[in-house]
Amino acid sequence: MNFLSELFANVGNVTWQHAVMWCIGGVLIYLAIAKKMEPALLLPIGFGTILVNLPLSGAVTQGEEVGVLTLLFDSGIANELFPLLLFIGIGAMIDFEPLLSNPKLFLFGAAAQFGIFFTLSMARLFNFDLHDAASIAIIGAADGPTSIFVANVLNSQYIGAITVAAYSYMALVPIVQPPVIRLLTTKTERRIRMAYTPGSVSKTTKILFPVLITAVVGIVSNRSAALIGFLMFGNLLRECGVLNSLSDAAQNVLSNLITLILGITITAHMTAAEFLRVDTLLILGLGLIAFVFDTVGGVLFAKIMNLFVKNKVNPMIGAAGISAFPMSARIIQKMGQQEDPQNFLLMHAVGANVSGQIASVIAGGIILNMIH
Amino acid sequence: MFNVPAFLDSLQYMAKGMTGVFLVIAAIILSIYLLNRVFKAK
Repeated sequence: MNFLSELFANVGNVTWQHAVMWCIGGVLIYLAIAKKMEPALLLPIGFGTILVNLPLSGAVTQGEEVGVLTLLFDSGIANELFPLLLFIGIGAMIDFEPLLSNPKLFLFGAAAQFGIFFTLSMARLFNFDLHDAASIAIIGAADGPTSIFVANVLNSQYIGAITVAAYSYMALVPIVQPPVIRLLTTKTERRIRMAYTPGSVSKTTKILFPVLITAVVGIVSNRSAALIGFLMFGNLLRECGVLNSLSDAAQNVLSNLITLILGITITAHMTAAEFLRVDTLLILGLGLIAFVFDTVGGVLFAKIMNLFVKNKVNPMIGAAGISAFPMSARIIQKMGQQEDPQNFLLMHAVGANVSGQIASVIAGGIILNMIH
Repeated sequence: MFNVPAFLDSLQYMAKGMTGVFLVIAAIILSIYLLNRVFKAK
């Protein structure tokens, strides 16, 4: 009898908070598998959420006993290593040609960072301290590694919730963006066609681009030097033409491996005690505000731009200026074709979308420069 | 519940931040135009 009571002693440590976290983990796993929403991240996060919320779970540090997820967090996220390594893979995946052939698209990447700064102010309104407000605001970067990097440098206590919000909303871009775009544009605007001239960028330009971006962004915004440097290093591997096997490894093996570890490691900070707070719900709400106002910033900027240019821009392209690559570009292409089946906006949208990737890193660096 | 002074104080970050992003992006755009001009595609 004693043996049985010892065997099941830990059952008595289960609390309703644990049960809620298991449900959250279950929902994340469901969304990953059944709805195919960012499965590479939501599935490890979902499973990890259940794992760390088992009573006295050995996966996270309990008193003197070091847990493996806490160890991975301290050695891979607390020092920003995993997000940076992931950026090499992301850089190797991105083709910047649509952007290089029409550099004006960069402006949409800049405009669509509006949600970050708007959310910073909203988070301050809700009484978050400045460092936490900036960390929450960076959810609007629509870029997981940048969100983790900035929240970590600013030592935010909400890093778990921020990461979940960033990746969840990236997965929800197809649901969040279309209604906002429709609200801000007319049918005629959504039908605007744009010409595209492919093949106008030389190989030398493509090779020099990552070096140039690293130098410009690294000098101006020194705190984002590592982020932009690793992103552009990955892109240089892709474009140099002599390191194809390394480029392949970065795009596939490296990014898959880091994504796998990153997802489950983040959950070290998704214990019930840290996650089940009113603040967390507020952070999820503010994350949505960030994505909505990113979209608003991009679309309105395109509409203002149209007042001054001869060749009109389809304002939906502005919405693709967020960093959620390539989902946002695909949505714009789909919405364009819904209005006019002969309208091909994909390459312009991809250009704006990859510019958002760079602009979000710049915004993250600027936030760190201003606040850290 | 609402901290209006903190909100108003934070608006400076919005102004400075967006200006900063646009300035860096403008520098990048100019650099790309220069690159495209110097190294034209064959």
